[in-house]
Amino acid sequence: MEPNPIPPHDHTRTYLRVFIALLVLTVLEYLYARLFSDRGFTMLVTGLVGLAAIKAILVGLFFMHLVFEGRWKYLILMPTAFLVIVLVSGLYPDMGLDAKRFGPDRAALSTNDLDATP
Amino acid sequence: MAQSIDAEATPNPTPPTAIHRTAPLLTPGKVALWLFLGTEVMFFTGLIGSYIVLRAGSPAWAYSNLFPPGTPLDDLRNARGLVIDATGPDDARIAETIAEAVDSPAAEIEHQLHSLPTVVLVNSPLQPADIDGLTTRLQAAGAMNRLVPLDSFDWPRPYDKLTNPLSIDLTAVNTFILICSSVTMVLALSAIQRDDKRRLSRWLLATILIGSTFVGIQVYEYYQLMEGHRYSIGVSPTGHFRPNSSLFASCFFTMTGFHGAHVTGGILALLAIWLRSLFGGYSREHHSPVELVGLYWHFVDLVWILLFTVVYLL
Repeated sequence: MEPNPIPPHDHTRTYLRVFIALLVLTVLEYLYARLFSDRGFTMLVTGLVGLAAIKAILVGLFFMHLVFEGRWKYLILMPTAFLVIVLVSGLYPDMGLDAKRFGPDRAALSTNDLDATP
Repeated sequence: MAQSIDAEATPNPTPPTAIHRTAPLLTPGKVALWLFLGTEVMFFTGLIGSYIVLRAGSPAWAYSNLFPPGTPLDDLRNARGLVIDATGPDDARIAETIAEAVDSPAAEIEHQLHSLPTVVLVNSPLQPADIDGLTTRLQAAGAMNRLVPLDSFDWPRPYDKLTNPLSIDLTAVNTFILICSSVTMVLALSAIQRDDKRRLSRWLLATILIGSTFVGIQVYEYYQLMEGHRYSIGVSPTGHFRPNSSLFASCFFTMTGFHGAHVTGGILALLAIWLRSLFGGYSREHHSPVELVGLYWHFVDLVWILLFTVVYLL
């Protein structure tokens, strides 16, 4: 087993504060989803993804010790993050939007579009 | 940072070896685990990214309130459906009345009436039905019902029970439960960093129990979705929400299933280190497996935070 360093500080209070923050954010996410479920999808996505990102960052920074320890971990995480963004951004306009706009299914209209057709 | 921490802990001049011991260690185990977590990020990106792309490409008619997912709606625009919102005091009579009208066993209708609101009859050009007659009979029997026109969507909407069977309330509680297990895990690590072996074992056990509760609730949810409930026609052609019910269903089960498998693997690893901790296998100087399994556990929690948002709430 590798030897561990002796940590100079006890971070228990920080962890409990982060826990409270995560709890509050989870409740906020739930309420936001309930309140905004019938309003614009963009608003829903922005709010919920934002709240989820804050929660994920809190878990990463404090529970996974990214804030307490060295920056070498970002050397691994940066290329990963880059690939994540590139992969999804690359496929979204093509398989996502274009499939809906130009795919064989465009002839089958939804009830919402029927009023607009001649 | 290492230098300032060292100065606080030991105000007297310290020899080089002590400074080295208090600096964050770039151990092979930690590097390996972070590399593994990098691959896990790519794994879940494949799943969540595919979900985003598939959803973006889903046609506007893919899901409707009155027909099974994927039904072409060209000739069905004038369809109307009868939705039951509440059965009133006499469930059995309501079920019998509906069963007679739709020519289905009453037991199946009763099963369906456990998940309200639900569509019980559809009048369409392809399959005409006496929807107004049934509405009158059900209202006379005390049920709350309404007639709805055809409404279609590119993806099931959250909270819309006519197309989306997922229980957001239960899963929100489950999300909180998994976050609690992350807290107990970090407290376990904190304990062994103070050489408190007893608290390490206790917090590890708490993590295992809470994590198992999360998996248990997921298994319960899967059972209710696939077998326990009978959902409205807009959810699935059979009433049971299974991987082959729709694209939404297969995405849901793939993503949450793989996540559940990761949580289960984490629980097995936690069990191993908990058992070792009971025999004093870890100390302040040597506890890297605790830290490494902890990192994996927090990652699994982080993925769930994103999954819950993307799959359940959006």
